[in-house]
Amino acid sequence: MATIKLPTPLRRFTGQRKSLEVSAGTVGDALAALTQEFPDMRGVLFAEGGDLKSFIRVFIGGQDIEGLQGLQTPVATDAVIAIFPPIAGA
Amino acid sequence: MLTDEQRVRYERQVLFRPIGEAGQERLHERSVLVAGVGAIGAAAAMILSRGGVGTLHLVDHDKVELSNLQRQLLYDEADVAGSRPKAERAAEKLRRGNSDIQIIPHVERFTDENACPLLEGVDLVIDAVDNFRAKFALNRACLAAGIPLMYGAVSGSFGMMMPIIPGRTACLCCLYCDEPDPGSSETAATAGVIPPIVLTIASLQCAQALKWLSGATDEMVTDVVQVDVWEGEFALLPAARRANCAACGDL
Repeated sequence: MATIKLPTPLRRFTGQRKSLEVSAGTVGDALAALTQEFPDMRGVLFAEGGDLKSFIRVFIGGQDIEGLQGLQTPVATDAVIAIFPPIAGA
Repeated sequence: MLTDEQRVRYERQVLFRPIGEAGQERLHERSVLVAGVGAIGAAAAMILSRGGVGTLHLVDHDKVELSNLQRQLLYDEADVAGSRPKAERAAEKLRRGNSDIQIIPHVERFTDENACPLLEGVDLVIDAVDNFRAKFALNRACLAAGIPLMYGAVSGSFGMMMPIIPGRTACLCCLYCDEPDPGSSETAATAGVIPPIVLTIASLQCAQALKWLSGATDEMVTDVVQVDVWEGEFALLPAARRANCAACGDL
């Protein structure tokens, strides 16, 4: 199972869950599992057309998926997926 | 050359070898603009003023309010009662800690319109504004002027810091592509914020600022530093420049 880590600014959409274990072949599959479990995350992550919002960054194994294969990036069974939330508070 | 009094005042910092006496002398010749003197900005201004940065510009249009005191450690109840502008009050208080430097308050917002005059003669900017519009204005202005910007933001117990060195590292647009919609991110007003993350992010910004200003410009952190003080988590995530970045792609 891969692990999606959920940073605190996103946890109000996940019932304060800190992470989610998912079985997924690609990052897109993993995020689909996340939004199925927590439907409010869909509007946080995805634009209306289904693409990731431009200001949401997703990392797998410490690498930005934009430099890999995007949502088609393969997910190893022990992979850690991190979502980078936009924050501006000071 | 440091005076005898400066040698005593900055002794512990001069003993820190990566700075040393030469670095301390450079700090005294440098000018930093702190954009926003709320929680992060007040903490950063305290560190940089005590550390002997020669000139500090403090930019903030707000006044001190009771709800600020929980995390904005430079202010007190008298400042709330006096309804004083933060920039002026911060300057007065910081001068008590170090009269050896110049501290210049600017009671105004940082915007695209006033960016040029505010950045005149400035060597580095601390991002301590609390919204993406202002952060993107800082990003544009610092890229245009070739001035390093220390991005910082907090929400709850979570925070991020990233040095933005024009032409060398990713900028805010590389990171976020577009300015996030208002309401797409948590703020202190919606998610709250606790003082430990404020001080952590301000400290990370200031450590990089002191490094740059004292001359170690080739040793800057180039990743995004993510911290959650509640969870005790600390992560470095690589931030790559985008070749087609609308803000810095042509630098």
